[in-house]
Amino acid sequence: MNPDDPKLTAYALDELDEAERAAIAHEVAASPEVQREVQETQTVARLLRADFAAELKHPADATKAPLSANLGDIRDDPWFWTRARPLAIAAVLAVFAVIGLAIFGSNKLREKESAQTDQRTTVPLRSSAVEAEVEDTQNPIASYAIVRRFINDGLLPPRDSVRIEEMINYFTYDYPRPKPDEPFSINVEVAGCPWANSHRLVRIGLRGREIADSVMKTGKLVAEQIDERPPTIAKDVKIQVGFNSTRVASYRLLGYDERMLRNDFNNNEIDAGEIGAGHTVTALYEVAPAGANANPAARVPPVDPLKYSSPTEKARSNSNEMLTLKLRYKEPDGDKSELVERPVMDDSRQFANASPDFKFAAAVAEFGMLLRDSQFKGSGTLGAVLEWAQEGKGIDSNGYRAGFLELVRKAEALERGKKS
Amino acid sequence: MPDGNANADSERMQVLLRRFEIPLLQFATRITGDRERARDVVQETFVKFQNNGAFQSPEPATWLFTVCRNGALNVCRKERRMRYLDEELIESREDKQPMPFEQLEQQEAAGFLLRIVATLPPRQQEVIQLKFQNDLSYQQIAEITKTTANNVGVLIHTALKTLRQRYAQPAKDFIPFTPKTT
Repeated sequence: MNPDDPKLTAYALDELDEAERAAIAHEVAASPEVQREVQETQTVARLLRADFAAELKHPADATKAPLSANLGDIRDDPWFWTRARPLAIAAVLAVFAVIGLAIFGSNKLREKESAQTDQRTTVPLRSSAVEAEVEDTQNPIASYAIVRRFINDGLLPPRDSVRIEEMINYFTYDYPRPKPDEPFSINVEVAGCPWANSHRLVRIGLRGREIADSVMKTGKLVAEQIDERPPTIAKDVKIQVGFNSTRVASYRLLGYDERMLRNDFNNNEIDAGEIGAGHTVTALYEVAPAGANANPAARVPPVDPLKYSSPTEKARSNSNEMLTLKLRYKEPDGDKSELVERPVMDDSRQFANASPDFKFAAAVAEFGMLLRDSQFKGSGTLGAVLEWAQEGKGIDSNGYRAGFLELVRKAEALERGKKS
Repeated sequence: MPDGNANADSERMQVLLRRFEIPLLQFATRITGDRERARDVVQETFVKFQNNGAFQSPEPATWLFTVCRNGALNVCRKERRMRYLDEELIESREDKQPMPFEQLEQQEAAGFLLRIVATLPPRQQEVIQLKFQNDLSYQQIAEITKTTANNVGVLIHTALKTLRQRYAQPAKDFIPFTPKTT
């Protein structure tokens, strides 16, 4: 059965008569994919009912955009259904795209262009999901807020709403301030990968120069204070991670779209536009060391043999270096590209001895993989996630990490309910 | 016993008012974009309802939403009002003290599906509201919006699909991983 059949939606909403219902129930039982489709429709339906019920309780927040503009005149015209409806949808989408572009502004356009021409992988340097939420109500909400909403409503979130890179970057990490002559501090930590015994986990963290302390509050801004983005302190930032194939058998960047990564796993260049003052960005790599018994269940893609390809790099390939982090950037009004290079050794640290921030970020990543039922989730469980997050809670002055712990406990209860 | 009947009628009317007044108000507000006009429309709907004797019918929902919808659309046609800007609401929002981040974020997340709904084509918004706010069947919605139950099914299916795609979209602050196109 085609998952994109309106009949399936009708089935999920219990709108079919006895005979049709029985026929479709048979097909649903036969296909896990169709089952998931039905479940997700019911999940969204339940959340919609909750939102609409809340709206009745607080009707003053009613929508301000009237439907009347085209509802009245075209409703009975059959032409509308055959031709105008797709056009109307397209028009709405087009308007939306224009609004989106206008709000994105020139910075975002530049980033897009550079991403296209450079054909490098991109990772965000603007990590504050807060801005995205408040500056445009049509904007998608950051994944962590959506996941929390579903779980607080007693539902496990749909797979596609769980975006691990956004969840990791929802939290701020205690990276040191940049040195006076550098726009950002680079922080790399390597320790055991808690969900795959033989693997290593690499955390790369950047923190932008603090020059706007007065408007920043622990990295999260109060809505009314966001009139402008914090000043850009570097532009055309590109991060390249070169792995030493003598030391590394394979690796993968956590999050982003796993399906995309499978098609492009050798691409080890990360590229982004600007980095703003006070922004932090965190990326995690899972690495299978060379020589270790590769865990086939984790299926980490093979490393590109061409890395460490320059003569100096080749000379170093027999060293203890695990990877080299290269950062290129330009000053906000400069044309000259600066290069910062940072070789990274693996000091064989165990996960138990990793920093609290490292443990916490790993917990968030594994939580996301478990919610997505990712093929890379390894041996972790929600119980283990709780443990790691507890160990990594740190000072948690704003209570966000405590909120995460509570969320994992709720998800655990939901999982138990699902199984029983 | 005319008195007894009148009492029973008035009681039933009270019950129906309590049950449908706010859902109808919400429905009419979405169409007109104006709360005050929506109030007038709903009041008129109930007056017609009582005068018609329709309130004796065992299933008043379809009748009420149909008449309310026609009333709201008539107001729009007469006044040719395409868009209302609820200045009062905007001002009251501006007056608000800055909200703690988390509270703001909770509130954002609480209404996020409705904000996506507001970007759907009008027909889809309408059937989604009738279905999920008022729990009406495809058949009832078809009668109210003067179309077929099949069409209602397609509209709801399309709308739900769009909703799901929208929350699966990365927050725009996160430039997605762009694979090499070789």
